[in-house]
Amino acid sequence: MSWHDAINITDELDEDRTLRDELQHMLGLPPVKHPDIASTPDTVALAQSLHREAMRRRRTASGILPQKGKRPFILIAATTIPVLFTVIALGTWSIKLKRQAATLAAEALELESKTLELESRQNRMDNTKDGPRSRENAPILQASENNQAATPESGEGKTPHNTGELVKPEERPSRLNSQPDQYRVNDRR
Amino acid sequence: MQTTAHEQFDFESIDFFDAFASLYPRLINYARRYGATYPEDITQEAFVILMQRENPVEHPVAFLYGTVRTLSLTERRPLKNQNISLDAILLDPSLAPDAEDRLLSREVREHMRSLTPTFREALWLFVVEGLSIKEIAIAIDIPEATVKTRIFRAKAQLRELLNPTGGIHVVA
Repeated sequence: MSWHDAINITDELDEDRTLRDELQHMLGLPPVKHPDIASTPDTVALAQSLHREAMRRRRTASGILPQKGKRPFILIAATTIPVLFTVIALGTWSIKLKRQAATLAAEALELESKTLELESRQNRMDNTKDGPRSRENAPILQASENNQAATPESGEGKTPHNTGELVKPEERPSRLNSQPDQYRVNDRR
Repeated sequence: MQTTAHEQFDFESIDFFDAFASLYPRLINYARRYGATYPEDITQEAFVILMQRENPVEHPVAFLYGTVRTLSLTERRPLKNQNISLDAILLDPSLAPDAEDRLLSREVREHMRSLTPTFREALWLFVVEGLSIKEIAIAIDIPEATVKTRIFRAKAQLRELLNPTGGIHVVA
C-alpha cells in the first residue's frame, strides 16, 4: 500500500460515499479533494529530521545504542573491575584467616591434651611419692597422739601444743643399763 | 478492497514526502481545533511516533489523526528535547488557515457549532477531513457502528437546524 492510497480513500463503501456527498450538499461544501501538495525542500528536510528522530528513539528503546553508546560499557567495566578485585582479595584474605584460625585451634587442642596428660602424670607421680611416706609416718603420728594424751594438762613437763614437733618414742632401755631414762628427741625440722 | 495489512510504509520515498506535505497542514489545523497550544509540535510528534513504531500501522492517516487528537487533548509538550525548531518549516499561510471558517458559510458554521461536540467531531472528520468510517473509528478509538450512529445523528440535527419547520422551501 502506497502513501498515495493511504491518503486517498480507495476502499470505501458506496453507501458511505453517498452519505458523505449528501452531507456535503447539505452543508454547501464542495466535494472533498485535498490538494496534492508537492513536497518542498523544507518539508522534505523536516520529514527526514523527524525520521532520524524516530530511528534514534527506536534504537534507544530497543537498547541498541550507536557508537557513542559504547562508552558506558567501558565506564561500567572501569567501575566493576576494581570492585571485583577488592571482592576477590577480601575473599582470599578471609579464607587465609579461616585456615589460620583452624590451625591455631588444632594447636591449642594439642597443647591442652598435652597439659592434661602432664597433669595426670604429675598426679600419678605425687600419689606414688606420698604413699610410702604416709605409711612411714603413721606410727610417729600415732605416738604423738598418745603422748599428748598421756601428758597432764598442768605441769612442768607439759609439751607445748603448738610447736609442731613430732616426738618419736624410743623404746625404753632395759633397767640393766642403770642409766637414767633418756628420751631422744628428734628434731625433724 | 482489502489491502495487505501491517505492510511497512516507506518513510524515505518521494511518495511519503508528498503525503507529508499534504498531511502536515491538515493535522496542524486539526490540532488547532482541539485548542492545542503548540499544534506544530504535536503534529511532528505524531509523525515521529508513527515512524518509530516497529509494527507497521494499517491505517497511517487514521493513526496520525488519532495521535494528534490524543496529544492535543492531553496538552502535552512534545519534542522538548529535540533540536527541531518550531519554525523549521514556513508553510504558505493560505495552506493552513482556519479551515472551518474558510470552507463553510457563516450560517452552516453556526449550525455546526450548535451540534453536539461528539457528533460534530465525527461529522467533521467524515465530511471535511474526508476520512472513512473505519479511519474515524481508529482515530477516535470507538467502534465503526458508533461512528456511523454519530454521523447519522449529526445529519438529523443539521437537518432540523437548517429546516426547523420541516416544511418545503417555497421559491418566491
